[in-house]
Amino acid sequence: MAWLRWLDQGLAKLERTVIVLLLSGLLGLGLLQVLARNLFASGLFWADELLQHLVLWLGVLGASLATREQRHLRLDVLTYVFPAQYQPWLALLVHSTACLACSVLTWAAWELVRSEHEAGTMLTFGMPGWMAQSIVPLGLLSIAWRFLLHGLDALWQLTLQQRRP
Amino acid sequence: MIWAGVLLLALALLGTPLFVVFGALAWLLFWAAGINPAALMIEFYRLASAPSLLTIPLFTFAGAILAASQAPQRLVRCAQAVVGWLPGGLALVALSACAFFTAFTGASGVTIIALGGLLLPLLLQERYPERFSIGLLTTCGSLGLLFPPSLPVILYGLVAQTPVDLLFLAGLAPGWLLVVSLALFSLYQARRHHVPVQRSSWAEARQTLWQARWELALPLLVLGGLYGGLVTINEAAVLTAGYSLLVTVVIHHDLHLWRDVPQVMTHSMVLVGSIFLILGMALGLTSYCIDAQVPMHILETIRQYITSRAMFLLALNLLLLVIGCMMDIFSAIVVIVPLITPIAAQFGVHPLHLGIIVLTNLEIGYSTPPVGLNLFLGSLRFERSMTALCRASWPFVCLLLGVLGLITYLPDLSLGLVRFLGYAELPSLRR
Repeated sequence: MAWLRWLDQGLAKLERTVIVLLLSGLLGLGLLQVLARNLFASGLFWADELLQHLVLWLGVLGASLATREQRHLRLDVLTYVFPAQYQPWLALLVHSTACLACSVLTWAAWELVRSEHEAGTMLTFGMPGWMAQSIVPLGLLSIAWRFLLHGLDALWQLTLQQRRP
Repeated sequence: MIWAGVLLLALALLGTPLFVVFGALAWLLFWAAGINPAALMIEFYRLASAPSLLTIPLFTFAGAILAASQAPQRLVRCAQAVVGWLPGGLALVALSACAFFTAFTGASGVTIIALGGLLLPLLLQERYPERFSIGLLTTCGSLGLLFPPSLPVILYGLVAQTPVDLLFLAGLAPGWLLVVSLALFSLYQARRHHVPVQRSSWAEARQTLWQARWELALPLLVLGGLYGGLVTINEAAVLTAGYSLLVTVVIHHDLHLWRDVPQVMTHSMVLVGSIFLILGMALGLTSYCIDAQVPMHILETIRQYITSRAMFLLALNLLLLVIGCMMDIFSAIVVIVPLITPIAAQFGVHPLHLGIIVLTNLEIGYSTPPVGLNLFLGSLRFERSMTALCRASWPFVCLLLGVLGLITYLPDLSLGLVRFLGYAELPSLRR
């Protein structure tokens, strides 16, 4: 377990760094565009598409971190009702389902990127479309992996419970 | 298929993240209809090109920066010196500071955390009854949700494909009505409990206004730029984020550029990510529902029971209050809005009016038991039980429900200003 956690910490560090860079870039490019449009009455024609993709990357990476910190939006009415001893079972069920669903979605996103690669479209800021889209399957994969870790955590809790009756 | 749906509903109720439920359901529906599930991801990817999506990360970041800085303290001090000398003054301070703060932090619950703890001791010190104070601060946690640049309004505009700037315009009068009604109630309570009137001097008012001048200029910057026709909403978001960063880091030195700002950035993007994912997955689900004409089928069914617009609006209010009790505002908007907009159009409800009704309902849902976010955060922050919070906030909730009735049945409250400025008949609003 220890090395899995170490690996996940490294991944989170990478994601945090990329988020800070992308958000700074988003802000910088946005300001540049406001200046260009209002002072020189000319927009940067490639900037809009780049900004859109920066938001996409930020959203997916943020979602991946949200999985790690368990801060996804959910209904939690019934979770308070369950007695403490069943909580790990509940967590195991929820996280394994989520892991399964995200794996399936990763595969769907992978299909999208593959077809984009075959189509070979280029975006206006000079990046192949499939490369910009690749964050979707990568992010979903990382989300599936985080759910797997949470599931393993729940399993670990259960074995602890078994050991001290 | 039905079994899969029931299973997913059960999983959702057991606390499975909602994006997982939507994603899995959309995937199953696409698969059952013989469509390549990759189409689901095309919808997700298309989200990136939604016109005002850019504003979500930028306004969220701006709000997070303000919340992490000393801005709450400066605003409260300023409000205390400027309106604190009125009868019921401190309650007005709480109302105005909370409304301002909620608008800028996107009603994500930061208001209670950042301002509640600051204001409760002050209110108690001024001999406001404890129950009143807690109720006031709990309901205030979502007050100001209709004012620009609040995140739920932007999200609503995105999902319902209604112009965001017009939604903000339509929300101004109803938003003020909510604030004013709570202010009058507070005044009455202050009189009844003989809360002493505070003194304040011109010099103090001037001084605190001067200290908070940079924060106070922010609404002027956003509103003036937007409705003066100088900037688009995307540009307003860029400017707000840049300005907040400048004020907190360079002018006030509240936050350190290397030590604090990256942390605020990642923290705010976690919220953005959770909204983004649920929105993306729901888009796939929505496109399926529209193709399968689900809203039309619902319409046919309810037509048998609901015959007039007034009845439809009442049913809508009840439905939204129930949903608001169970779900956070972001998920509620994403799930319910695509289904009700076509139905509401059939009953002749103006899209902007519908938006204000939905958002006001969900705003009240923040403070309704059993799972209103404000009650939950308030009980954490004020260290009181949930039942105590429910008991303290019910008079406020009743008052807000009354105002909701006015907003629902007087469309001119929302549409008057929009019509006055000549926007109400825009082709983009016709369906």
